[in-house]
Amino acid sequence: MSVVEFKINELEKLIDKTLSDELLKDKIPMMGCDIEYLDKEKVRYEIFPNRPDLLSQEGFARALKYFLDLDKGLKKYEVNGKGVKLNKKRVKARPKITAAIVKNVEITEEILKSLMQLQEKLHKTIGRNREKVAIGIHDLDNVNPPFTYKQVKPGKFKFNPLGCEEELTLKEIKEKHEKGKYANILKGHDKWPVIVDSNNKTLSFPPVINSQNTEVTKETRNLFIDVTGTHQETLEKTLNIIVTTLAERGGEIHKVKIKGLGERPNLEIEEIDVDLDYVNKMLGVDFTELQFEEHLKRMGYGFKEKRSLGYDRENTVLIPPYRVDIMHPIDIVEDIAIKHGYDEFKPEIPEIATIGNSNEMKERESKLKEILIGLGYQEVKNMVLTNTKNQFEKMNRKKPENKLIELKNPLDKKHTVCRSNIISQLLKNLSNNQHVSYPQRIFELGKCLELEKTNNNHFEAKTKIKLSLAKSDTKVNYNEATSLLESIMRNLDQEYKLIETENPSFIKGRRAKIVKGKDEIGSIGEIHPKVLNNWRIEKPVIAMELDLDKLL
Amino acid sequence: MYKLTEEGKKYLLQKDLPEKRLIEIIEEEPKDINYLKEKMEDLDIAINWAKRKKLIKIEKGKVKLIKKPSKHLEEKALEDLKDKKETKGIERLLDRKLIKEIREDVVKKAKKQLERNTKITHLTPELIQTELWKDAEFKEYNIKALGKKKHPGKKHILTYYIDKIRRIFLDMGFEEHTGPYVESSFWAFDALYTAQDHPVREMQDTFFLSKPKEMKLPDKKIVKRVKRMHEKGDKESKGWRYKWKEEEAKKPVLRTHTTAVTIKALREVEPPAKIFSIGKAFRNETIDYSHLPEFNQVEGIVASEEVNFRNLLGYLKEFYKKMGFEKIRFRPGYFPYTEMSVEPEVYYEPKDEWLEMGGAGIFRPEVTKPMGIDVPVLAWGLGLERIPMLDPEIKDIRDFYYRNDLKLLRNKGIKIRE
Repeated sequence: MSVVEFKINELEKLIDKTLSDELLKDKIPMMGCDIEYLDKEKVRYEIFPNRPDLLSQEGFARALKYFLDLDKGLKKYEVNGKGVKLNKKRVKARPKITAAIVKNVEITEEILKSLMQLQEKLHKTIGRNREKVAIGIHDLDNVNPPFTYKQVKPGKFKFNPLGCEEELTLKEIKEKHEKGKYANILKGHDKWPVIVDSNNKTLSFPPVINSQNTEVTKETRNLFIDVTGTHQETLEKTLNIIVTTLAERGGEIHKVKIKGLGERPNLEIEEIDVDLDYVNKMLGVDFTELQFEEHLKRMGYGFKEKRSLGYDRENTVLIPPYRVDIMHPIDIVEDIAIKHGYDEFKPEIPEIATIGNSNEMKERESKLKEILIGLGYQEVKNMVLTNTKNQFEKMNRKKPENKLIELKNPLDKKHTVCRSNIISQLLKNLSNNQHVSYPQRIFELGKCLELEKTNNNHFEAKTKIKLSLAKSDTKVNYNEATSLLESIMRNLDQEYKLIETENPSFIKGRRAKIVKGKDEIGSIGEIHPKVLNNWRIEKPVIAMELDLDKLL
Repeated sequence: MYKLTEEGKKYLLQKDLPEKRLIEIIEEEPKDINYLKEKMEDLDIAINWAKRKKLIKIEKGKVKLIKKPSKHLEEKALEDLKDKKETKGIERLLDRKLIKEIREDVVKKAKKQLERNTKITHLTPELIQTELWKDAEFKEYNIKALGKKKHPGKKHILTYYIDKIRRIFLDMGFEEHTGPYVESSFWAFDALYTAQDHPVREMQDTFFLSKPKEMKLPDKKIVKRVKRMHEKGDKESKGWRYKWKEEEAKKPVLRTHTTAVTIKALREVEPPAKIFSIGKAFRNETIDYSHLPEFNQVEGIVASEEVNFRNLLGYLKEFYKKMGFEKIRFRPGYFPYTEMSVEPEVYYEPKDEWLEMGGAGIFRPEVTKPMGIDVPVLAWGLGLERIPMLDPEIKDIRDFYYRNDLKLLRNKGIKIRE
């Protein structure tokens, strides 16, 4: 999720219109961005990951102008100049690069900030934290083209990185510099990428840090932009977003000739065929071709009518180069819907004759719950996520081997496994409710998860539906538990036996396993005082747990 | 102690024994059976006993008296009973169920109870059987005092909501589906056209599992079609254009949305189809009063040649109307697997606020085509807990799953979003 902050007066300057609170709060989110914060000076919107072109103030303003009917039609961006050369050598660790030049930009404090924010957000989103895409923006006038992208030995190659007084080797940058952590992206490679100029002066050590001598300041007027990474197409899109953003501030885009790749940036207009009938069918509307065209132009697209032989009439939509999210005609349909306004569509339920059908297992669970409620038991619900201390240690039981579904990366260290029993959670509930009047009778019917060995020695996750109940009062006894079990089993039409068990959660001589045929299907008994002490429960408890897989 | 039964009272106190009444009618001359039938409704019993006592005989349809006893055994026995004499007649009375015996201890108990208290506190079975209550008065309660609270067994608050939502979708003709919590990344992401390097697949959002290590993929055909859609798209879509990896798809996760259930169901349906599922989803988040790493989602899809964007809004509007929200609005949203994407919001009057309820949209063709579905599919995944959380009595989401506060669960009324 990227939340981007915009200065309201900067946006107003860019679109040449006053933005009322109502516009900012209610209308603009209908363009497809959630409002997160608003005060007198600034506004924060959540920009969706499919629209990286909205991550800058300039790009956002561009879209806003269309959305608020202040602009219309496809925007074309010219690429000037003969082209500065970029020599692309083999760089194993980071094979792809693209680049562009933007001239005559008046870098103000605001533009500089906006540019930084755009760069940072692009890194985080489509850049996947610089792994897929990393951007370097340089003061072109401090270096001399042609440039070279090459790989060097990290222990030997030295330069003066941004924010540093002295020259460091790449290896030292990794260890000492605050941005050094990004060098982890290059892990496993013995040579690392750098961009140098014709005098072997360093511009950048992608994807980690630029050189101090190409730092962009308020004096900078001409920019060299490099984008490196792993996926060429994403690099080109990223570059397009940056150069068109700068063009919105009056910058002139100039080309870079990359060896083996050709001229960049590529701001050619892409086309996609969209059938008006398809638009109308998907939206449930009846737009005319004129309306279709109007909506498109008002969202910044171009429109070309294309009549083919026969009756099929397709239209070609021209996509501006900063739009990187269009991959199917349905993406165009959505933009038309947004322009039309989601609140303009009349909701309507279609007549589709289907027959409702409930899940049989859920129905049975529901009936079983009724019985337990009839027995005076209150339903509780616990989380599936838990830990082995609660599930086993406190229950006086050993953690079983190869039985638990284990989480790899839990944020909360209290949640490390999925529950394989509910009975421990009921004890937790009783422990939490000791101030409430007794007797306390509770039950839960829910899913547990266990590992199960398959034939080919693999482990699979198995869902088990379990029923667990517990009663706590000043006096309880084992017979009460078995009588509950008997009522439940009678209603389920099940035969079963109670057999002695060693389960240490219960008191010896007051515990049994519940057996059906050859299968153990549960346990029952009076909870051991040691377990009660572990849970700080001060009243005796009887409890049982039943595996419903073979019963329902 | 013996007590007259209802029948005993009838035959020994109110009327005479049936055989005695019969004899009175035929005393002067024998009478035709048909005539007697009209005179006596209990003629069968009368004839039966008169015969047993050898008092009559029947000839050619006529009943004729043989002898008339001065007193019947039963009448004598009744007198003996009053005199507390045990005679043979008493056996007859018992046999004819004209009297029943009340055990001595019962009588004793009843009498004792009345000796102890002049007024009856508890009406006991003994007092009722012996009818000794007739001789006593009842102690009166303070009938205006309100009763002491008792706690019935009840469903969990959330279950009431789940039940209601199930009913709504079943009423609208939806079929209910369920699925496992542990899913392959394939079903959680790949089948939903979420690129393998998409940020949602990163560790921060999704619970990956260390055990089991990997999941099985579905049959090769579907895997191949999904892979192709990611890598190359088809004649309409450009696809994501990257190298799709099977190992990535095999990674097990706790399902991040219940869309994993409906997308699997989609494989097997023949449109038109309407499917819903209510179940848990998991997100790797830290806990606070409004966030839990697991929560319930209301998932639904409608697959039909006929459906469109307005229908999607129609279903959402209808659902929330049935849940008690009259005003709903729709904002554009973003999900990798839907286009149009919608975030429905309902108006909550007590707070004068619009509340986000979840996500919805029309599945991208890149999602449905590899499943063999070529028609539009409306889809939604709505947050369930958001609705009960509007209840002012429920201040903390942890009251649901964590604490199961019995005070709250026991005392919460059942008028839940009727």
